[in-house]
Amino acid sequence: MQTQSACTDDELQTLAALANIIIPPSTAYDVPGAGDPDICKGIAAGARRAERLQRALAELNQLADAGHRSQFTQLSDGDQASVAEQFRDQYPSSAGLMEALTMQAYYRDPRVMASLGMDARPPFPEGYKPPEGDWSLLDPVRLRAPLFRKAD
Amino acid sequence: MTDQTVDVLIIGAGASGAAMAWSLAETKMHIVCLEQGPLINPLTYPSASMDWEQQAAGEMNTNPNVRNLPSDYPINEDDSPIKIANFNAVGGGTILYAGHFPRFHPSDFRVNSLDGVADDWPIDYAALAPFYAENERMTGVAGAAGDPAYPQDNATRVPPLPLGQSGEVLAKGFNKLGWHWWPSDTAIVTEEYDGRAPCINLGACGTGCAQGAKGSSDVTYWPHALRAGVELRTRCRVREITVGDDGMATGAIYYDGDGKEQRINAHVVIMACNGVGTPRLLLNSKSAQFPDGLANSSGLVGKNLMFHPYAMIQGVFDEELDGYMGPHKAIRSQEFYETDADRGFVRGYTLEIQRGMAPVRTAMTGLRHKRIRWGEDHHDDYRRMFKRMTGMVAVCEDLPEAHNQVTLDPVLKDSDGIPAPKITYTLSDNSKRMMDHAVGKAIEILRVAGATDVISEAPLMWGGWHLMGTARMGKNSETSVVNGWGRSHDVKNLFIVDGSIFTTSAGVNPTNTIQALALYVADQMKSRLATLFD
Repeated sequence: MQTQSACTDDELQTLAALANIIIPPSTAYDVPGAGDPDICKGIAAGARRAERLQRALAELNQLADAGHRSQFTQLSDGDQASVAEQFRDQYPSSAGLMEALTMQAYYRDPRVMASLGMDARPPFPEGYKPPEGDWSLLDPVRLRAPLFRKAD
Repeated sequence: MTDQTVDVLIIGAGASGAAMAWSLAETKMHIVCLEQGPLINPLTYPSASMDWEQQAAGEMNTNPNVRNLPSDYPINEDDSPIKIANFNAVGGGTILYAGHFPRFHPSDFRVNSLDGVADDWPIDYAALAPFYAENERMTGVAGAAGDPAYPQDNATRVPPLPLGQSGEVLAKGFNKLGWHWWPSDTAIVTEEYDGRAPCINLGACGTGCAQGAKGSSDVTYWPHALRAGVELRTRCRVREITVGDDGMATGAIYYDGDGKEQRINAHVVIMACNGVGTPRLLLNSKSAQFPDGLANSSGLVGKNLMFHPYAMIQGVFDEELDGYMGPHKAIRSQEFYETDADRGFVRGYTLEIQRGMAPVRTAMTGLRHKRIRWGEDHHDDYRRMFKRMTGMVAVCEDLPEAHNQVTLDPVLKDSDGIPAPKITYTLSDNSKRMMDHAVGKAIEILRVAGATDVISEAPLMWGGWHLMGTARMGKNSETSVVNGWGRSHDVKNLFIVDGSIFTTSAGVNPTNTIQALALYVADQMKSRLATLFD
């Protein structure tokens, strides 16, 4: 279950900038980026161990500082993308965490679900109705000789 | 510490403990079951929440080291390419399982006689058949009679799960190749059954079924067992089995929910803790009489650990398929189940068709396989996969090897200070060849069915769902831990009924066989009550 994030405002801004690099907004699909404030709150709250998330953001800022003597949020779009690529290369575990948290928060956002043709609701209690399918396809299999080995 | 004496102590309330408790209840003996996890209200399962896929990756993860709940114990799995999947609660692993519920084949009990590898079981298919039928009736199984891959059976079945668009696409492919396929026998009811509501295709079976349609043992056996008088104590973690001067088991020492040490005495002790938990507890039950652990005169407690090495193969199609809708299982193929020497390996595998993927899992799969990118291309990449994937897993038979084992970790302990299990496991060459073959055949079917892109993983790292062989069943006390009806060769009032007693693993999901074996052992006990300890 979601809980409140332990992140500071600065950390949340860094998180939003990175999340928008992972999934930017799209006018073509009428969806927000993952840096959208509501989605970003979900990303931050989704971390079961806040210190892991905070460490990942600190690593990102270290790379920005090392390469550009700047905080990640202060970089140009191009430099942010470049630092994000370095982050994936040099801190794959942290990048994997950020990626997973971003997907988990983004693909449950009602705007995103609507864009995908989904009802913005959890599976239960309404459920879904996939088509039954054509069971006559089984007819030729019914005619096959036994496949199993006798073991008497 | 309190002290109480009961007739029968069952340790573990999962698949086998539940079946055993229900079956023995008719004896009217005083039966107590200790379970280290809680009894969970299905309405609290993740699928009732928007963040259900996040919970699936966290507190409802299949791996206890990731989940890290108070009911879990840590497992050192550094020396295994396959990580353990389990769940500690009333219902055990069946809370999270997909419900695939096939029987073993007759040949699975005669591996040595037919193929010259491993050992034959001390029992055969015919002995288990009535208990398979009883278990399927108690659980509620969707499927269809007449599968040519099996002997004709007397199973109780409700109508199969929907074939769906995914199943239809692949069924056409199987038919083009002339390969076997059949609706999966699945422990999910498609109509009202024993007071349970029918499946409504939540697509979240792997996080617990809020609808109660999936046959996890908390909703199948346990309500009946409790009504029949079995006493179930939750949040009770057993540390060791105690023994008397006569070498018989006398009960157990456990920690209750408050962490207080308790003792319970019992005339019969039955272990149902799965293929990792049972050897852990036996190895931790050392005494002057049993310095190498209880029931371990053969030295085989913990040895011969078998998983089913899994391969996952998914195809991407141009057309929309079922995606997130419906139970994970639809159909299976056993075209390559029985041994064929020309394939370069012995034994075989089942191809289990997986219907589709929910939104987050689609994204994570695409990212892991570099089909979905970060940045501007993300949305197009994602939409090429969302609701357009279906595929399968190959469930490969694992053969017993003594070096694959569960031992006690010398350092790692659980929250009660009990030594954690350590897993040491390597894939055999036979398993590797079998997986390669399975991946090749799965790609062939996906291409024939129209897949425009195929991705695969083998072995599945998180696929250690099936834990077998670590207290094997056999006739010879030097080469097995329990006899042909589950009784320890060494301790005549100690029984084991979980997957650890499997002699070999077969190439199908084991839960139906685990529970049928538990019912078989219970039946043997009931028929031998007067001479049970002779």
